[in-house]
Parts: sequence; C-alpha cells; structure tokens
Amino acid sequence: MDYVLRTDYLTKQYKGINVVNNININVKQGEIYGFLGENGAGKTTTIRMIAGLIPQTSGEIELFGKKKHEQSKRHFERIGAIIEFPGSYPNLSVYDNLEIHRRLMGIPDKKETDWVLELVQLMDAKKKKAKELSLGMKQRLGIARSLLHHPDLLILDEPTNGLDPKGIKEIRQLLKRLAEDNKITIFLSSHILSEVQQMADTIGVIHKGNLLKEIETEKVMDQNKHYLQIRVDKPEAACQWLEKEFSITKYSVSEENIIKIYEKFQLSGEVNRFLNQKGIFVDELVVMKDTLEDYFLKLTGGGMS
Amino acid sequence: MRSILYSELIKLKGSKILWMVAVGAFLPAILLLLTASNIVHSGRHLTFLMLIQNAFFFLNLIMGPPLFCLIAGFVVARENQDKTINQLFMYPQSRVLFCLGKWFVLLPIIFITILLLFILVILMGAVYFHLPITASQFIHYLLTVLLVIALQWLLTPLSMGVSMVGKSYIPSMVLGIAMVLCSIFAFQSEKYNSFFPYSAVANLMYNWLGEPITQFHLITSFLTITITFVATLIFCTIYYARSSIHNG
Repeated sequence: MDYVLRTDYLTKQYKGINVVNNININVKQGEIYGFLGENGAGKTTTIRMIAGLIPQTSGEIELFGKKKHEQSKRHFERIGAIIEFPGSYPNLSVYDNLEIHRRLMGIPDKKETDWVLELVQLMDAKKKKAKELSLGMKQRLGIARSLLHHPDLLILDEPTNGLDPKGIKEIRQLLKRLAEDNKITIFLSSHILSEVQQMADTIGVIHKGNLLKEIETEKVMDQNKHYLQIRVDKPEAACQWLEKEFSITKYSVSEENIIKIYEKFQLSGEVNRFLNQKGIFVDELVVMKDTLEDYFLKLTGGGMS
Repeated sequence: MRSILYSELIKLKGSKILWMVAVGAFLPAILLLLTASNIVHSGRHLTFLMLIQNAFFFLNLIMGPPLFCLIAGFVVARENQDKTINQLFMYPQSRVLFCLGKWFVLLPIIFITILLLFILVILMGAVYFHLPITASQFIHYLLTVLLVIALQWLLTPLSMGVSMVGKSYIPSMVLGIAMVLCSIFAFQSEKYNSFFPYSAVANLMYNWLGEPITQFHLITSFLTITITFVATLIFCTIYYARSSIHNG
C-alpha cells in the first residue's frame, strides 16, 4: 500500500497541554481522506504541522515516503493547500493572483493559469479583483491556486466554510472530479459529518486532539445500515432455521445471543412466529438503524455537527 | 530570486499604499514652498542649497520615518492581513529569500518617492523662484539624493522587523511616529544626534552637502546606521525563517 501522508505519534503541545496527542494518520494514494472533528479538536493544528508552518512537539510526519528531516522545500511542489482561509491579494485580479503562484512554483507555461481557471469555472472572472469576489469564488480561487502546479496531494482545511448550499455542492463535485480524473490525493478537514461522509473514502475522527478512529467510509456505512435485531435463547439453532427456511444469509451473531439480520426485514412477523413454533424463545425483535451521527456521537461523546 | 522579486512587485499593483509615494514627495515639497516663500518675503537670500537642505530635512526627519516605516510594514504585514502567509511559506523557496525580496522591493518605492521630491525641488527652484543652478551643483545634489535613498532604504529592516513581530503594519507606523519625535529632539542635541538612525541620516546628508559636522558625529552616525541595518536585517531573516504560523 502506497501512502502519501503518514504521521507517527504526532503531538503538539501548547503550555504543557497536548492539543494534538500522538495521532497516527494514514492517507493512501489517490483517496479522499476526511479529517473530521468539531471546532477546536486539533484539525488545523495538525494540518499546520503537516504543512511545515508550525513545528511538532514530538512524533514524525512522513510525506511521499520521506520523513521530515529527509524532506526539502522541493516537496512543496507536490502539495497544494488551503489552510484556514483561501488568502489572496485583494488589489490584484484573479489572473494576477494565479500568475504570482505560477511564477513562484516555477511553472513556465502561462496556459496552465487558463487551464486552472477553466477547471474551477472562474474564467469569466479572471479580470475581477480578488476583493470583488464572493466567498464561494474566493474559495474556488484558493482551490485554483492549490491546483495550478498539479500537486499530488491537496490539503484543504474546511474547504466549504462559509459557503451556501449551492457553493458547497459545487466544491464537493469539483473535489470528487479531481480525485477521479486527476488521481489527486485529497486530505480535507471538516466539522460537518455529512460533507465528509459524501466525499471521503476514509474518515479520521479527531476529538480533543486524539485520533479516535480511522475507518473507511464504506465500512462505516455498513455498520450503520438497517437491520433486524432479535434476541433468542438458542442463537445457533435460530441461525440454521433462518438460512434453511427464509434463505437469510446476511446476518451476524453477537454476544448476548443477539442476531442482526441485514435483509428481508418485512419477514419479521413470520420469523418471530416460526422460531416460536420451533421452540426458540424470541426475547426481543426490533428493526434498528444507527445513523452516522449516532456512530460519531458515540465515538466522540457528543459534539459533532 | 527573480520570480520572488516579480511577485513582490506585482503585489503592489493597484495597491493604495502607492499613494504614499505621492504623499512622501508632495507634502515635503508643499512645506518647502511655504518655507521658501517666507524666506523670500522676509527679504533673505534664497539658494538652491537651502531648498535642498530644507526639503531633505522635512523628508529625513518629519515625513520619511513614518512614511517609509508604514510602507515597509505594509509590504511585510499584508501577508498576514490578506491571509496569504500560509501559502507564502509553502512555496519551494527559502523564507530568507522572501524576506530579502520584500526588502528589495522597498528600494524602487523609496527611490521614486525621493527622486520625485528632488524633481519637484528642482522645478520649484528653477521655475518658481528662478534660482540659478550649475551642472556640477545639480550632480552634487543628485548624488545627495542617491545617498539619502540608500540610507533610508538601509533603515527599512527596522520597521520590517517590527511588523513581522506584530503581524500588522500598525506597530511600524507607531515606530515611525516615535522615530520622528526622537529624531527631532535628538537632532537638536549635538551629543546624541548621531545615535538615532534617522537623525544620523540627516547628519550624513548635511555632511555630504558641506555643512560643518564634526568627524566624531560623522563616524558615529555612520556606525549607527550600519549597526541598525545589519542587526535588523539579520533579525528579520532569522525571524522570517524560523517563525511559526499559528493563524492567518
């Protein structure tokens, strides 16, 4: 497995308090990694350490397989980032803002500026001064700047902050398109669960500086779909009958004699009657669904949008 | 370094701070016009040397410190205020070069301001007051202008450093105003006038123009400016290279 970004017990301490505490992040090549956490959880601090804007107290950051002491300033050529705000020079036009970036990144071809303007749909606003742009357009200008040099890793800190629903949708579609078409690895932070869930392949949950969980979004979804939960006194026998009589194969048995059935919920009444007839005592039968919110709230003990 | 200089120059495009160039040139010229008119009306003899001396007194001790401190502060602190500092420090270039780039871009601004003032003074003297000026005098005054440009530029790392630490151009403005007060008081004291950077600039300028300034003052003034320049430029480069960006 190729990892673009890894942290190893990364820690940041301010005045003796660990604001980021021994976190191990693993971002695979080509994936969208959602770094989820409430405001003040330590997301931006972590990103600032990754971007080399603040030093870590301890731990290691590995970018493109190289640890910090092996990295040179050249590795920034492979990273595009928006950290906290999509900053721009207000007195300059959209085009000039990008031209500065192009020159500083050492990209000789001026056409790249036009290419990225097309990509983020800002071509019509290329002569507009940055101070005249709406928040959504500023965000897109920031994304354009972070993409202009064709980075392998895109780091976006709260990329939809302050955007209206339409703007959020546009950014979401753009990022998905970038990941799919351009094979860019995207590391994005957010405090909005639905945003991360819709975009990310892997979710890392940070809470009070601790990385509580790093899990593939698909697995989270699997863990949180509808199921029929029955508690019986003879789970093994019950499972045999479920397979034989109802052709139910998608189920799991957990401790406390609980069977979770992930299909054919409409048969709940019949299952109940049948198992009773076969001398299996059904103590509890209920259709359950854990929402993603429930899942993350359980993880963090509350405090997720 | 070329791309850094280009970017620093283009960042000034359409910036309101460039109006300060006009202020820096026209305000001393207006003050000079008033002063020179008073001299003429009082029946005293007005010379080109007097115009140059007065113009650069206004510039070096009254207008220069707050003006150039403000511009230097703006060039540095705008990265924090426009929230572009994160991106700036993520370019594959040395932060020291960015610091030097910001210092270098101040040179054309100072150059244009002072040269514009010089042109206004020459026009005022030749056209308005009909004062005679020889070619050698003109060249001598022009060299004075170049000296003042160089000395004012050497003092800009001082305000750059203050803005870096304060992450705003307000502290450098305050520094500029404080420098005006200190320098005006210091300039009147022969004992201390060489120890303040801006009054030291005035010392060197008067010495170049042929004013009677003692050797001690000359060397001390030169040392004051050199030490201020070297120390503050080293501070700026180290501070920029090592600074952490916690917000912005």
